[in-house]
Amino acid sequence: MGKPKFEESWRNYFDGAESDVPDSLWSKIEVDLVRAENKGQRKSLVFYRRLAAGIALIAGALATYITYDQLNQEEATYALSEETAPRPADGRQSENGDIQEPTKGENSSNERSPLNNTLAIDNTMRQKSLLKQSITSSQKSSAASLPLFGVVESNNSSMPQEEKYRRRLGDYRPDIPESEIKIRSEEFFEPNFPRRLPAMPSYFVASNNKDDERQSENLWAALGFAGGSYSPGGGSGSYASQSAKNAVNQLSFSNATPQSEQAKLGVAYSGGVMVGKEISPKWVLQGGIGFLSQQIDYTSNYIASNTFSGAVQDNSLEALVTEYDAPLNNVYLTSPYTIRSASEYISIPVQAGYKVIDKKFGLQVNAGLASDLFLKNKLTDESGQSESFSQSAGSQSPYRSVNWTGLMGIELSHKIANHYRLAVVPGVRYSLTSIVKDDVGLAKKPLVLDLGMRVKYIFN
Amino acid sequence: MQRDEELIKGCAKGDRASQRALYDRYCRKMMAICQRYSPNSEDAEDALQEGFVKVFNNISRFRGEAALGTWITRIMINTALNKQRQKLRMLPIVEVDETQAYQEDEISLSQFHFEELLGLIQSLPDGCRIVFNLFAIEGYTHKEISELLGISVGTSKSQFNRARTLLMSRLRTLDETKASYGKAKI
Repeated sequence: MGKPKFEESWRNYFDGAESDVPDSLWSKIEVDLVRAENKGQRKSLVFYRRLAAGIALIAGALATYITYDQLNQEEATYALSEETAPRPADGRQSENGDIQEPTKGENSSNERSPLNNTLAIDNTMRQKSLLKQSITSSQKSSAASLPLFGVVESNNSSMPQEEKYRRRLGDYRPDIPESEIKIRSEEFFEPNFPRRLPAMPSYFVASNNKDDERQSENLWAALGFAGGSYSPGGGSGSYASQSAKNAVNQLSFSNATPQSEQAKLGVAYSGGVMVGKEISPKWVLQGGIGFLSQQIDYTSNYIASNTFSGAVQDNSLEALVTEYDAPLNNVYLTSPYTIRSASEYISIPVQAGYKVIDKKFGLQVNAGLASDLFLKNKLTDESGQSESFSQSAGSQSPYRSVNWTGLMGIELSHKIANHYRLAVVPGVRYSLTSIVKDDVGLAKKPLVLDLGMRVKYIFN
Repeated sequence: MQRDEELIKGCAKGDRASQRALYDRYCRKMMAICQRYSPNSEDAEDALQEGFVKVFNNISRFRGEAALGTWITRIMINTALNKQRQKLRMLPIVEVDETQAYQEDEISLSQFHFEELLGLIQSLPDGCRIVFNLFAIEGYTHKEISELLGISVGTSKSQFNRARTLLMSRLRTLDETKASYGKAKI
């Protein structure tokens, strides 16, 4: 039997070899695991916190509107009460409808003063009023037991109130003391007790409150911006060129996939201008143009570089995403590092909006589509060790030049001036098509949840 | 004792007991591997700690194409290599004559303790130690090593030859020391 080769002897010796491990090592591993788990939970917490904030905002806006509407209904309701309906004060109705004065002694159960009788007569001469007025205790003492009717009249006339009252009485009644005339005239023209109107459906009431009128906004323009979370979709794998994948696949360590992991959530920003037109009392058509940025981090533990002269080039992120005709000749593992991928688009949204609430406070539900024109994607090594790399749209780019995105959201607005409306716009953007081309072999359909602010100028 | 499949399921769910069981099952073997690739025990412990964290964070991706021990071994080797990555960039690019014949050693390793041989490996220069481990013990070819480490095939061969020469020299020294000690005892 020949002597084993040098390599075989060492391999056989260390095959299955074991060594002691410090007891404290497991504790250190546990700490790292807990840290990693907390990091994942924090990201989920950020998402749910934002969602809760959006829901709270919507709930607050709705509660504010409901409270506002209820208050308006209480102020502007009327009621018809039989108790306050004008009735003859113990007088008999004559054939022609006039009320005759009751003769003295005929009605002893409801004996009244001549003044009260006169008031009753006067009331029957007026049209029946639908107003009921509550009488303060001081007024009750002077008004005896008669319900008091009154209509607020304009005080624009230069005629003294007392004279107006006298004329309303029809005939001059010298038996009515001056003090009573004065009191009665003041009460007649300027009731100083609060008007309390029983509840009545608001649609029976003609409101003079301009705020309750429908806000007709035929044409408007708006400036807005939004920010939110960005989920790249399509799993945790990051994009890598086929050249890089082939090179990594040849590594016997790897499980045939590049070991790079994308963060679960990124950040999205957008800003732009919009124009809207009311196409019916409840429907709005709006569109605009804006700038959209979506960025996400991912960690990688390999570097791919393409060498031509035999010397190792400086690390560049270009080799990770560029397709080469010849196989990459240098792929090696590194310690994990973070790469930031930032994509920029020009977005052209078109939406239809339905006005759920169309008053000073507004609630509108929007839905539509946007075409996102891809501008560029920039890869940046956060540690600074590798060169950044930007790629724009084109036949060589893995990114689609145009993407279609579904839009959905609500708009909570408040009219702050005649021509200005301020709105909060929580919304969702979901890519209907993958942002990378089909031949990449990786479908990415980002989902963006954002919250925006919009300032509208209303032309007419 | 739990089967590997059960441990994998438990670890994928984040069950700490399953993770501890997996760790206990493989930690000693992986420690020996990390020690071979690291210049000292501290680096080996760091590599082992980091390697197991990677194992638990990525165990849901384990597809069963290889044995679990093999998969964990590869992660440990990757982790240990990453820690030595900087040093690999400084390896000289040297072409080696492929026809050079190697002198067969006449020293049996069985007479040495594990710690002695481990110490010899750890005493090698960094590049020599890594290439030696990959070629002699893990069984990679020089081409695979060159692709893995980002060096040329010639560099891989020269590093291994140097490692081999150093080890043989130190083994002879160690062997002579043992022999003289034995003679002295007698």
